[in-house]
Amino acid sequence: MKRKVSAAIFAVISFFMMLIEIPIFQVYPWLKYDPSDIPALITGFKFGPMYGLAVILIRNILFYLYRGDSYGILGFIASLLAGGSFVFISTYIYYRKKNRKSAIKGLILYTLVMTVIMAPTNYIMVKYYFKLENFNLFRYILIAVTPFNIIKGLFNSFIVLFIYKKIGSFIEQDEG
Amino acid sequence: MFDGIVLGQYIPGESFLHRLNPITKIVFCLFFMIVFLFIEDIFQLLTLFAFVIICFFISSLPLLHVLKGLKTIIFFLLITFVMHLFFSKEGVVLFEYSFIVITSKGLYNAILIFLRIFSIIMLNSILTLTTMPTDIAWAIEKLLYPLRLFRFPVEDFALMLSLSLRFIPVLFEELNKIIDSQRSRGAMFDSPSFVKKIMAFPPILIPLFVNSFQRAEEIAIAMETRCYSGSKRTHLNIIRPGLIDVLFFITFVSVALISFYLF
Repeated sequence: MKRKVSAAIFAVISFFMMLIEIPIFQVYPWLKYDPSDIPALITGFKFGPMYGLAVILIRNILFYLYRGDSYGILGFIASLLAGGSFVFISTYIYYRKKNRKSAIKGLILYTLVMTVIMAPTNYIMVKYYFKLENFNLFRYILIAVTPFNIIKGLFNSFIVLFIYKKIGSFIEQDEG
Repeated sequence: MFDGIVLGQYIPGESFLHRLNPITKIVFCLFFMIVFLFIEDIFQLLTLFAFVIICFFISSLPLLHVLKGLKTIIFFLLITFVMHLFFSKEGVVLFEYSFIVITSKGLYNAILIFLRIFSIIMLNSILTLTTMPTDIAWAIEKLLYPLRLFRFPVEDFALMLSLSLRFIPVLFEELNKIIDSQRSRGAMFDSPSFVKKIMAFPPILIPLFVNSFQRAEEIAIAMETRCYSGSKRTHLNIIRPGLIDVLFFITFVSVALISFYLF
């Protein structure tokens, strides 16, 4: 029961984090950094990958309810598939074997998987949604989307490691 | 950093679309969006676009609110439009002036993409403007029920969703309190540097996380002492599909069929 309630509360925090949007590159203002994966990763680390997944799903529903018009159901599905997959993978690795090494391994994998998955996802989205044929899509993904995801993944990983170490003493005491 | 959070843009009304079952609306929206993505023919698109416009008039919403959804994407939309218009080299040349060349294919594609994105966003706006956020959440929950076949714990998920909806205002207040107290200790949240901006998160997140874990434990204990088991949940207001849903569904299917067979 405690796990379910925690997942719900962390989904709300994750939703708040989603509202912080910091553009990284001035040229592409729609690529924005938001730290909303951090609560999902922490929940996944603590309670298992299924709860990390639940946080992502609820966060997306809340965000859809909050700003449904421009975000759209399409963005909802894309962000669900994307966010869900890397949070699940990285927390699965840590949850199976709880030590510092596997945490770092999981977070590196999170960054890598995110970069690898987001490239084709962006490609498909831009290609079919906007149908830009003349726009050099390959170059756009290589110079904008990929570095963006690497930066995002690294920052999220660092913050998660830092925070998890700090609050670990509070949350490790009681299992249930 | 944060101003007030109001979930959803629901505008109360008494129109046909307001009274429609939220499940019908969501299914309809999803289906239309997929159709819009795959249509390549401008006449089919125009038929469906006309249907979206009719929906808008039925809903009797103020136009400004519906167009507000475009605000965030308008920049990208204009770039796409201009790129299609000026950089397309296929088709018959319609207009030529020094370096500006507009071809028929370019114009066709520009209008097609514009209409497509415009209709999708408009549809989404109509959905969120005519449905209460709690009703949308309820409909999503109901739509997930078939997933039980794959051992997806829908009951637990529904509990988490309603808990989180309830906790938005509480946690929002707590977040603001933490931000204020860190600021009074000299924390900087408005630094122009990107790295400094990100490094400002841990001082907010750590107290928030610790508090949240404690709060979650308290709630869990409170629920367990009241014998909550989560097996059978009931709702205060039960929404049932009515005659208007059937009517709407028939209209919608016939419009879709007409647009496919006519062109």
